[in-house]
Amino acid sequence: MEGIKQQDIHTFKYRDLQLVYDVNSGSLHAVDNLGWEAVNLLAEGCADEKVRFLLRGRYPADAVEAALQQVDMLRREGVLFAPEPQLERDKLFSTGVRALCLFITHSCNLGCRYCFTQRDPGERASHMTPEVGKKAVDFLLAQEGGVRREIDFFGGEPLLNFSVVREIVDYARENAPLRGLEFDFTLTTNATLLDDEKIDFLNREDINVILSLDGRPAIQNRMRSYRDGRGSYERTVQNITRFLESRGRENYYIRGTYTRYNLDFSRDIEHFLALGLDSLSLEPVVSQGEGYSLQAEDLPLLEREYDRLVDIYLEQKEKGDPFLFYHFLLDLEKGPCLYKRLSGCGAGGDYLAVASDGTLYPCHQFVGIGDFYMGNVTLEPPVLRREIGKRVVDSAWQREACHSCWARYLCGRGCAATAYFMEGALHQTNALSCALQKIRLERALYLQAV
Amino acid sequence: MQHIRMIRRGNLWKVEERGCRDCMASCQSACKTSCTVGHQVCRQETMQR
Repeated sequence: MEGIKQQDIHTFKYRDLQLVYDVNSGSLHAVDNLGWEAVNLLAEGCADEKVRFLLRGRYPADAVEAALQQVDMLRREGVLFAPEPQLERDKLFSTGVRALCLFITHSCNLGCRYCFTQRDPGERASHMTPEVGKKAVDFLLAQEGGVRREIDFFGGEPLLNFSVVREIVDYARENAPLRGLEFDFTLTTNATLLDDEKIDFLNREDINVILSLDGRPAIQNRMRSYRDGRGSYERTVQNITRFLESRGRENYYIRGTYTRYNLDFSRDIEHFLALGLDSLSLEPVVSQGEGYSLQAEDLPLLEREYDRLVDIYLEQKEKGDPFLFYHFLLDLEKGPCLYKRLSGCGAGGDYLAVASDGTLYPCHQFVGIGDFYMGNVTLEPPVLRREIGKRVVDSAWQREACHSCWARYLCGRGCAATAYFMEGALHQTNALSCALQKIRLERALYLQAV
Repeated sequence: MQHIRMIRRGNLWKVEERGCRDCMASCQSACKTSCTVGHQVCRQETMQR
């Protein structure tokens, strides 16, 4: 076979399985010892004849022949040694903005130590006004392409400015049908301010809610305390429990962050499960700070924690009580198309962030950084400097390390904000983030096979 | 004897022409603040099921 590159095949052993991930088709195969050796030799560029020669005497000749025939059949089906897709690069940069992350407020009642919003040097008004919010909706309604629009309510703590959340939802719901459009809403909250009125509204409007909770009481209270230093665990869990009961435990995600202070984060996942929470995401901290930042030397420990998480995942599944762990939810058969996969997370392209004063940035992490100012939704007409966003979108293509990485169609090519803030340039890759991503992906692939 | 067993038939080729962008776009909606894209379900595929 001509043109085979090792970067197009990823073979790995995990526990009792030998797996082959075909990068260009996104297909996953399990192989026996002979299959393992044959695929690896072919991936190294050996011709069939050389594979026969190298495996002669170690496996029966008819078995080697059968393995080569099976490889050839899968290759002809386009699911093994698939060629690199040819893509039109222009299609990567979509014509319209489809999603906005609204900084409903830049204020927060908590003082989480790792919060990236502390980077924002802006002196803008803390709360977004209803007028700015409605301008953001108008801006989104005027964009081209597709029928769906998304708004994420973010902050700061968006429930500190809840009346504006409500006004924006009402306004969007009223105006979207006039243009044949539909809205999806998501709200990210620390849950401490959830009360009956807010819960009723979020449920009535079918708003997806991301609830920030890091895990065990000591972990939560250490990193996510109130501004006066009091721990937030008790109130947070109390409110989350009440809220989830009110919506039949649907349409939510627990979003935690782990740091160097809880390298045993699988215990925090167990804690979530003990609380009856089953839709979970636990992300490694990406900001740099004294003491809590993850280090390269932590990788072996972290790898073992993800192994432990695989155990917990399988145990729960076996017990008939499965849970969703975001990083293990890999959809190889019905995932997004290649254009979506290669346009990164969408930041700067179809996804932008709006600060409380209406200024636009490529994503929530860039808010307030002058070099990334993209315009303002409150101006008439609104200003949108697409070229700034394009820098962020294009950076996904400029990350050299991604070109030959087996995970290149699974990871969104990393986070531009992480590259910029951690490595100093958009086109860089953060080695620790990539290593963690690959650790998680191998385990997610394994879970597809068991 | 089966030496290579397909576990999942990837969809990268099947949908690569589309680029319709009707999938979830935002970080929070699509990715739950994780900034990765592998976990989404393509809305087109969902509609065709």
